[in-house]
Amino acid sequence: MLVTNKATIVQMAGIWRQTATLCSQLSGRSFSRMSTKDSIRNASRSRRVLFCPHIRPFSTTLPIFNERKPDGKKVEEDLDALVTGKKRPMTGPDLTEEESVVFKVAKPKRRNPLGFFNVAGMIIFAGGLALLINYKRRVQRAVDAHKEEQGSESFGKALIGGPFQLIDQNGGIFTQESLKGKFSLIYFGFTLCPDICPEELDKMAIIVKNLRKQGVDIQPIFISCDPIRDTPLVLRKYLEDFDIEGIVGLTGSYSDVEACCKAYRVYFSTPPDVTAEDDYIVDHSIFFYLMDPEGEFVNVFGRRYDAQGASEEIAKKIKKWVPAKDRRESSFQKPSFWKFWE
Amino acid sequence: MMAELHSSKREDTQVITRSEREKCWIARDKYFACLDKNRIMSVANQDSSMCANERSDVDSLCRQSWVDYFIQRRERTLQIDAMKRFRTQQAHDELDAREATSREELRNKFVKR
Repeated sequence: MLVTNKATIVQMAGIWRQTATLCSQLSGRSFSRMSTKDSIRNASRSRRVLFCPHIRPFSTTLPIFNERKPDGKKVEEDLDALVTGKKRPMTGPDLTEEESVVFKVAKPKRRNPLGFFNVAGMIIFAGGLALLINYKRRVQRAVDAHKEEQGSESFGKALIGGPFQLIDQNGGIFTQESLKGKFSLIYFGFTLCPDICPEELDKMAIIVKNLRKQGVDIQPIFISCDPIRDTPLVLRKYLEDFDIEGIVGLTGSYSDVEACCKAYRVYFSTPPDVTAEDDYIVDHSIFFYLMDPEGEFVNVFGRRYDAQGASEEIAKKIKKWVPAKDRRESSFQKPSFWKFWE
Repeated sequence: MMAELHSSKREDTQVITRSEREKCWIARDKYFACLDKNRIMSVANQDSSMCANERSDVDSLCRQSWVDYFIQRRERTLQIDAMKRFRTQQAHDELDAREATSREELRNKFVKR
């Protein structure tokens, strides 16, 4: 407290005297009344003021006013006020023992800087809030994951695939039953294709190699859309050019090939009445078909997939695949509110 | 169960090996480079004096159906690209015109007449 005003000092001196009187009342001892000089000295000492003349500009500090005897009721009131903390007492360095006791007892309670709140309550509240936010975030994540899973599942089976009967490059019969037991990758093309089929077959070679490196057993199949010119021997020679181990080349009669292409929704433009000597290009849809070990259709990959992209997608689908009897609707698992670490 | 429709004489000659294919492609690329240099888009309408050597190479190394297919495909691609360029140019011109008119209107608003 900075006090530089002389008047204030003198007033303080008066208050010192009053406090001294109070103490004398309490202790039952009568002190020698503090002289004005002493009071001022006390005030000046406690307030660290350099000089203090004996001037009393205010009448309230005249002895005539301060010498009246304090009435009992006022003393009681003041004492109560001091003890309960309603009135702040003077504090200072030159206190007598009695005065210091009074002041210690009458020290008011420090106001809580937080006021209404307390620290423990705030911590619990913050903890609860964090838990709630975390829970909301986990629920959102679970919903998104479930939605993605639901979205990628085929909604109803695509009507691709079905029974067929063709001949492989060694003359053996190949039907849809031969697809069972392992995953298959089917490509429809023809041997006299200018550039697209060779490109796609090279892509297939990379895909099959990648998948076999990952331990996936996949059967590559090449089905000819040009049965008139593509005999089993032709297929065998053609497929030797491509570094695909275990590739199966299929052909057959025109009606059998037409039936297979229809089952797989493959468009092809070979008319039925051409002969082997004719020179023509077959216009056909360019897709890879992924079939599962039960001979059912899984997914189709068009020209926008490159070799790496296609191998990754196929690997994903194979990893996710479950046999039909073990398949069931994926249910949404609601996360637990309390287990925030999950 | 070999089908009787296929004659055994044809089988061996019908297969085109990888090296033959690549030779055909190289000749085709050379021919198309010549056509691009001479800015020929449609081959059918031109006389056969331009790029005659390259064309003969292609004809000898590739099957006729392949040659026709390659040429048709090139023409189709060039037409599509030209159309795309034309359309984008149109769009840009339209945007510029619209911007100019809006600028004019703004200017007219503030000019004291």
